[in-house]
Amino acid sequence: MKHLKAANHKAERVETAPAVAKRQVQEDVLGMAQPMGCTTIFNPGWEANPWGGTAGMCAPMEADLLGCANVCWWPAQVPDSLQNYPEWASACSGVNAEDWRSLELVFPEKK
Amino acid sequence: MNTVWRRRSLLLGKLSGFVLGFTLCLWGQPAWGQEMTGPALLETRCSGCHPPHEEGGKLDAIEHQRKPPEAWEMTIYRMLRTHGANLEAGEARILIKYLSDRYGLAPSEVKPFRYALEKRNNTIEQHVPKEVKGTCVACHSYARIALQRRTPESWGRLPDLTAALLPNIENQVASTGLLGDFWYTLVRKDTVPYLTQTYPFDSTAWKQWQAKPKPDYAGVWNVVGHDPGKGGAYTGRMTLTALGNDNYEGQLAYDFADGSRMTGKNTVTMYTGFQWRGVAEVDGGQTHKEIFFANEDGTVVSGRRLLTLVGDLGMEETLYRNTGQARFFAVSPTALKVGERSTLRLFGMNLPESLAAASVSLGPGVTVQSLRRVDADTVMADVVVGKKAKVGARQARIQGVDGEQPLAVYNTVDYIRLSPEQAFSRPGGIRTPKIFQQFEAVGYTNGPDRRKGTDDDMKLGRVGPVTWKLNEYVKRVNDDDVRFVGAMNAHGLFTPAEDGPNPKRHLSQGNVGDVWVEAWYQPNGARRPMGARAHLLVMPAKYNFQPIE
Repeated sequence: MKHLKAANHKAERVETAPAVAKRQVQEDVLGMAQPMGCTTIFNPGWEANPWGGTAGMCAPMEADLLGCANVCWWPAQVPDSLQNYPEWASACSGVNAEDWRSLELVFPEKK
Repeated sequence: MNTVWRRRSLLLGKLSGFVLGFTLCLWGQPAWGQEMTGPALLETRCSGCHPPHEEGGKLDAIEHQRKPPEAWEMTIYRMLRTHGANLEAGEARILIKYLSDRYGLAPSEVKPFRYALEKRNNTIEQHVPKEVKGTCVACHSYARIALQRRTPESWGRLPDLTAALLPNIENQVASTGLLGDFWYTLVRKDTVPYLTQTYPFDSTAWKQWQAKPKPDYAGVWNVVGHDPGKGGAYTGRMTLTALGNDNYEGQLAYDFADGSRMTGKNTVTMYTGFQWRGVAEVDGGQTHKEIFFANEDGTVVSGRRLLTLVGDLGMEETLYRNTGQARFFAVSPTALKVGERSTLRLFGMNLPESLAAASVSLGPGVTVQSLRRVDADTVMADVVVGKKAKVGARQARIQGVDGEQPLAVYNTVDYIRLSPEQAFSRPGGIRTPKIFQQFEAVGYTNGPDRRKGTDDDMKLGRVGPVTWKLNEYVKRVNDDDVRFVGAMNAHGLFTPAEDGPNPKRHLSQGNVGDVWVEAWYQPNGARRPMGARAHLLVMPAKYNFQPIE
């Protein structure tokens, strides 16, 4: 093979394809990595979908937010009302579309 | 009569029992307003549920682990939140201090995972061991685990604790696709043995650090920092006074590259002898958090000054103890163009009063024309780079002063890159805090091989002025994120839009999306501007903010 040269661009691309493919796989793996503290659970993801974007995620996420809290699904992003923060959504009536404005934020209490 | 007497004696017995019980309860308790020490607090507030072990007498769970102050803070607040612990105001602070001093980490144990404490939330953790990747790091950072040291028994209890606190964990982590078995089975089989072996309670580093005398941090500190939002490099001074018990108060005055000056006061607590946690009140009523770490001999302190509570904006900072000796710490800008005149700012401490132009050496081909000593720490130098000056890296030195600083000489800025290149932000402002993202454009030369992106490329430092733009990162049909996510300002700061559903978007989706951040820079004399871009992911708002993510 080493005495043969690619006759045109397409043939050259065929020759270099394995190396390019290897590089792309490595890039993909890095691309799938999430910033520290972001979840890598993608069904759907809280921060991103499996391809690192926001397409196809829950829209709007507020519509399903209590569903996350009640079953403690995203404990790092949404305070779980099962164990840690039972009062988290107590200010919400559950029937009002503006309810998300009354949710609490969770910071460590200062004492 | 008999019955009445019996009733009376019963009542008296009950009363005396109550008085005795009440007195016993108060036995050993300090008077109201008297501050308790760490050991006393452990005894009165914690040992009820955490009895001492028969062997060694250490309190169950508490005294079988070591971790940094933020981790102790998280544990103590969980005790208050979920387990019904009771603390008076100010007692949590005393406990956190005592526990992090007595059951903390050594400098070398904290160093590789400092980024989590400094809230560098853009960090993409590389090389996470497979034993913890699917089982732990699906929800929180690897640093959160690696900043703990536990006895085998203590590591062994974690799976049960996690399952009890987060009962849905099995279902949740199963969806990562990284688990070959049930979470509980896997975590006991692989994760716990790995952590027991990698992060044991006893370590030589900790024993040595405990035995060492801890430095006193009072005194004058010279500060060198980098703030991408205020023109890059900044310098200043901080003076700390000891208040006793590892607490300090101080005053600071910083000068920024954009000409602005910031003064303020701070209070600092040193944990474990090297972990600096400060709060600064600066001009304009702003509050900064200082998350710094000292080196082992306490002469250099470095870390991140958080400009917001959640740490999305911050400045890099290094503090050098002012020992009276003359030293040279920083030069700004860090690159000079061939054939051009520039003004350099040299920063150090105790610089000689009379400095001749010849005493500043910037390598062959660069001539210092005049020097102006601003104060004991700062010297401004007017320099000319000769047309034949050698392109490349060199060192700047001041005669009679310790230290040298890297300086680059270049012909052209060949390309720019953005920092960070992978960025994230979250909408906010109504219910949740906006998570901002600051960008900075950095110039590079191609180096001797004249090819972009090779090892010999030279970093020149921040470039400007830069025009900032947002562009769509097309990920789906009719992708329109760029219209909703937010905007860039002239200083490279991305401000996200408001949180909550947006009725103007399809399906009322919130203002999330993925976009390209573009920077365009046109050096003097260049025909066309050069561009660079970074990927910005504007993620859904979140409601839970913990000291370690």
